[in-house]
Amino acid sequence: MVLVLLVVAPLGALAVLGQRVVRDERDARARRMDQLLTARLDDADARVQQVLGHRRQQLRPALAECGTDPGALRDLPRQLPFVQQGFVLAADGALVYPSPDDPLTPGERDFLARTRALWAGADRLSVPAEGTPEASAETPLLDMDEGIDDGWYAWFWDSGLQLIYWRRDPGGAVVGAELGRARLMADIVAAMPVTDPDDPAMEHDRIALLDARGAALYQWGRHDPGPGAEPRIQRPLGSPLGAWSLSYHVSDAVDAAGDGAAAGWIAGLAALGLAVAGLGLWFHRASAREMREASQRVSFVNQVSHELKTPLTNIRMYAELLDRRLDDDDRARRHLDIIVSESQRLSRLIGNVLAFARQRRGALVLRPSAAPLDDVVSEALAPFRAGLQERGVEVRLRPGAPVPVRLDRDVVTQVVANLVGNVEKYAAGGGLLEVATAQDDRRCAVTVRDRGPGIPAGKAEQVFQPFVRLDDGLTEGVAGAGIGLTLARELARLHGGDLTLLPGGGEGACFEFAFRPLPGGEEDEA
Amino acid sequence: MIGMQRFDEVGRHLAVTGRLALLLVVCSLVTTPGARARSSDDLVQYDLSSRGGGSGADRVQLTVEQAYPVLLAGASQQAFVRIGLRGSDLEPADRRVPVNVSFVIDRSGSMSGQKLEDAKQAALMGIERLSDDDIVSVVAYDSTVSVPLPPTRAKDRVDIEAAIRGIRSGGNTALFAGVSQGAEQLRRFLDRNQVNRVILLSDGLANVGPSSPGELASLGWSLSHEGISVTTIGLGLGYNEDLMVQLAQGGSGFHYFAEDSSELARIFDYELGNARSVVAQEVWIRIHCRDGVRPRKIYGRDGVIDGQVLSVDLSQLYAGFENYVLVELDVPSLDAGEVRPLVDVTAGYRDLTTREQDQQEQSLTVRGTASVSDVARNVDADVMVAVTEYLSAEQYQLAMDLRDQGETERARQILRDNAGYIGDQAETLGADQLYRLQKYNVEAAEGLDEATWDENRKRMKQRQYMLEQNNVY
Repeated sequence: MVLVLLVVAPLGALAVLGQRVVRDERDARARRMDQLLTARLDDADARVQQVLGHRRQQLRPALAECGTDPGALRDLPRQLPFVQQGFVLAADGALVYPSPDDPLTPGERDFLARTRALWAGADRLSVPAEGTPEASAETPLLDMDEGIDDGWYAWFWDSGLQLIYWRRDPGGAVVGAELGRARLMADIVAAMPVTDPDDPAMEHDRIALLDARGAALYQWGRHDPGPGAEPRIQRPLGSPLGAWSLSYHVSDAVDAAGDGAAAGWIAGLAALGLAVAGLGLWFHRASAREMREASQRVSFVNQVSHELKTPLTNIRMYAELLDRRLDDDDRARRHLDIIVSESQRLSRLIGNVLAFARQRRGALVLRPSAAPLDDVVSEALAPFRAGLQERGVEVRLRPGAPVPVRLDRDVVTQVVANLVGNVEKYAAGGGLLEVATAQDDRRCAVTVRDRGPGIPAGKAEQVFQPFVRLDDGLTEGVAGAGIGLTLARELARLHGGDLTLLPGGGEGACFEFAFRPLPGGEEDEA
Repeated sequence: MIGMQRFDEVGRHLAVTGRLALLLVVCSLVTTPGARARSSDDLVQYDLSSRGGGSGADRVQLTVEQAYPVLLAGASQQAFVRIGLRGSDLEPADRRVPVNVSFVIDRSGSMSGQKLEDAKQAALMGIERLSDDDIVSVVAYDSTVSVPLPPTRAKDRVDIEAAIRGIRSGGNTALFAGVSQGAEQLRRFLDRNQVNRVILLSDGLANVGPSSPGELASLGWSLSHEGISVTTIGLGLGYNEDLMVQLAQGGSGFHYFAEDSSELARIFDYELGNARSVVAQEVWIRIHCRDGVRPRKIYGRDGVIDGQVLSVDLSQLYAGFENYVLVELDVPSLDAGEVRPLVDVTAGYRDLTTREQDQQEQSLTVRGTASVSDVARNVDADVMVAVTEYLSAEQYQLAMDLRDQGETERARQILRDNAGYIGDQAETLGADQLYRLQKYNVEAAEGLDEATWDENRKRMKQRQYMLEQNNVY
C-alpha cells in the first residue's frame, strides 16, 4: 500500500504538473499565434491607410489649385480619375457647387441626389446619414472650430460606403472631393496581398476584408473556411473606414497539430514516470527533432525564395527596360548587361531552389543546345574573376574540351558556378583555383581544384547532404543556406552525369563534374 | 414614367426617320456612281482620300461632314453632323506601339475542364501575336486572386507557357478583385504611350466583392482615364452581359460573346491584333456650336452637353478603322443664299507613334436655299449611313428593353420594322454595309422566345456595343 502510494503520489503530482505545463504552453501558443495573426491584420490595415494617405497627398494640392472654381472642379475627375465629384461649401456651410440652380451635368445631378441628406442639416457635414450611426459617429467630421483644415468623411448611400476628402480654403470655404466607390475598393484590393498557390505561409489561413454588412470585398489565403465559420480574429479598419473590418480564419488543422504535440508530451511524461523505454524515446525524439528542423529549414528556404522572386522579377524588368534606353554609353551598357545576366542567373537559381524544396526533380526541364564545354565553363567563371582576384586567388583555366557537344548551358553553368562559389567562400585562403576540362568520345568532365582546408575523408559524402557545413570553425560567418552542393549534384544527375569529390592527395579539395552529352539534335552540332 | 419618356423619344425618332426617308427618296435620284462606290466599302472603312481636312496629320484623319450641307430657308431646321477620326494603316516599320497586357482569367469551379483548357490555349496563342518587348501578365481568380505570371517580357515564352498551363480551377468568382489586381499588374509598367489593357475572361456571375454593372462601369471609367483599357469576354450563357458590357464601355475596350470555349482562340487573336494596332488614344472631341445653333443630342456615345459645347471621349483609334460621333443640332431659320457658320470642331489625342499630344480643328458652314432639289442634290450619303446606323441602333436597344420587360411581341415588331427601314435605306443609299445591320435585326427578332432569349440577348448586347464602338467582330 505504502509502496503503491510512494509510486503513485509522485506520478500523480507529476501528471498534474505536466497537465498544467501543457495547458500553459497551449495558452502561450495561442497567444503567440493571435499576436502573429493580429500583426498580419495590422499590416493589411496599414496598407489601406497607405492608400488613403497617398490619395490625400494627391488631393490636398489638387484641391488647393482648384480653389472654388467650378470649371476646375468639374474637370477634376478627368485629372484624377479616382475622384467622382468635386464640391464647394461656402464659409457659412451652404453648398455653392454643384448648385441645383445651375445647369447640371448628369454626374452632378447624381451627386446632389446621393448627398441630399448631408446638406439638409444645419450642421453641414456633421449630420449622420440614415442607418449609419457607427460609421458616421467615429469619423471626425468637418470640425471647423478645432483648427483642423482637412480630413476624411465617410457616409452610407445605397447601402455602400462613400468617402469624401475635404480641405478648408484660406477664405473659409470648404473644397471637397468625393471618391468613386468602385475605384476606392479597387485601389484597396490592389494594395492587398494576392494568394500565392505555392506560398506555405498562408496555407491554413484566410484573411477577408468585409464591408459593413459583413460581405467579403476581397480575401486572400488558401484556406477556405466555408460559409458561416466564425473567424478567429475580427477587427475594424482604422478611421475613416471603420465600418469595414478584417477577419482572420485559421484552419482546424493548425490547432489540431498543436494538440497532437501536447499529447506527445503527456505520453513522454507517463513514459518517464513508468521509467520504461525513457532513454529510447529520448533518442527517438531527438532524431525526430532533427528531421523537423531540417524540414523547417527547407520550408524556410522555400518561403525566402518566394519572397525573393517578385523583387527579382522587377529588377530584371527594369534593367531590361533601361537597356532599351541606353544607346551610346558603352560602359553603362556593359554594366547593365552584367546586372541583367546576373539577375537572370539568380532567377534561375531561385527557380531551382524552389524545385528542390518541393522535391520535384521533374519540374526541371533540360534545354539542350550545342556548345563547346570550354566556352560554357569560361563564361561561368567570368562573373567570379573580379571577386577571386580581390581575395588573392589565382585562377588557372586548363581548357581541354573545345569540340561542341549538346548540353544545357544553364545547368552546366550552375554546377560550375556552385563549385567556384564554394572555393570563393571556403577556400580562398589557399590562393589557387584550378579549373580543367576534358572530353573524349563519350563523356565530358570539369574538375575544380583548390588549395583550401580540404574535406576530411570521412565526410566526403556528407557534404552532399542538405544543410551540412563542415563544423571546424573555419566557416564561421560564411553566408549560405547549405544546399549548394546538394543542388549541384541533383543538377549533375539530372544532366545524366554526376558530381563527385575526388579522393585527393594532400591539400585542398577537388570536385569532378562528369556527364555524357545530351542526345538528339545532330543538325545543330555541325 | 420612364417608359413613357422613352416612347415619346422613340416617337420623335420615328418622325425624324420618316422625314429622312422622304428626303432620301429624292436623294436617291441624284446619287452619283462615285457615291455608290464609296458607300459599298466595309461598314467601318470609308474612303476619305477625296476629302479634305487632313490638316497635315498622317496618322489620324479628322473628317467633319453634315447630312444636309444645304438647308431649306425660312424655317428652323435640324442638322446632323458626323465627326470621324480615322487611324491610318501603319507602315510595317511603324508597327511598334508597345503593348502591356494583363490576362485576367476566371478559374472558378464552373470553368473547370475543357473551358479552362481552351482559355489557356487561346491566351497562349494570343500571346504569340505580341512582340518580344511587349509585357504580359496573367491574373487568375476564383474566391481569391493569384498572379501566376507577374509582368514579364513576351520573349520569355517558356516561363509564360508554364505559368498559364499551371492554372487550376477552384471556387467562387471574385471578378472585381481579379480586374483590380489585373490593373495593378499593368501599373508596374504603366506608360501612356503604350497600350495598357486588361483582358477579362469570365463565364460566371461575380459573387465575391462588388458586382453591380454600375460599379464595374465606374471602375472601368476610372481605369480608362488612368490610361488602362478593359476588354471583356463572356463565355457561355452563365455570365451577366450587362455587367461585362458596361465594364468594357467604361473601360474603353471591346466586348465579345463566346458561345463556346472553342471560339476563344479567334477572339483572343482578334483582340490582340487590335491592341497591337492602336494608333492613338486619350481621344476627345469638342464641338462648339456657333451663334444661334443649339446642341440637341449626341448619338450612341456618352457625352456631355454644356451650353453651346458638346464633349465626347472616344476609346482608342485603331489602324484602318474610323471612330465617329453623330450629333444633332437645331439650326435657326436661314435666308436663301445665306451662309452661316455651324460648328467648330476640335479633336485631340495622344499619337502613339510620335508619343505626343496632338490636336486638329475643322469648321462647318451651312447654306440656305429655297429649292428642295438643291437640298436633295447636296445630301451626303456617308452621313446618312451614320444616321441610319444610330437611329436603327436606338430601335435595337428599345427592342431589347421591351423584351426585358416581357413585351416580346412589341419587341419583335420593332425589330422587324427596323429591319425593313434599314433595308430601304441600304437600297436608297446604295450602302451595302447596312445589310449586315438588317441581318442583325432579323436574327434578333427570331431569337426573342424564352428558349433562345438568353443566348440572343448576349449576342444583341455584343453587337450593339461593338456597333457603338464602330467596330465589327
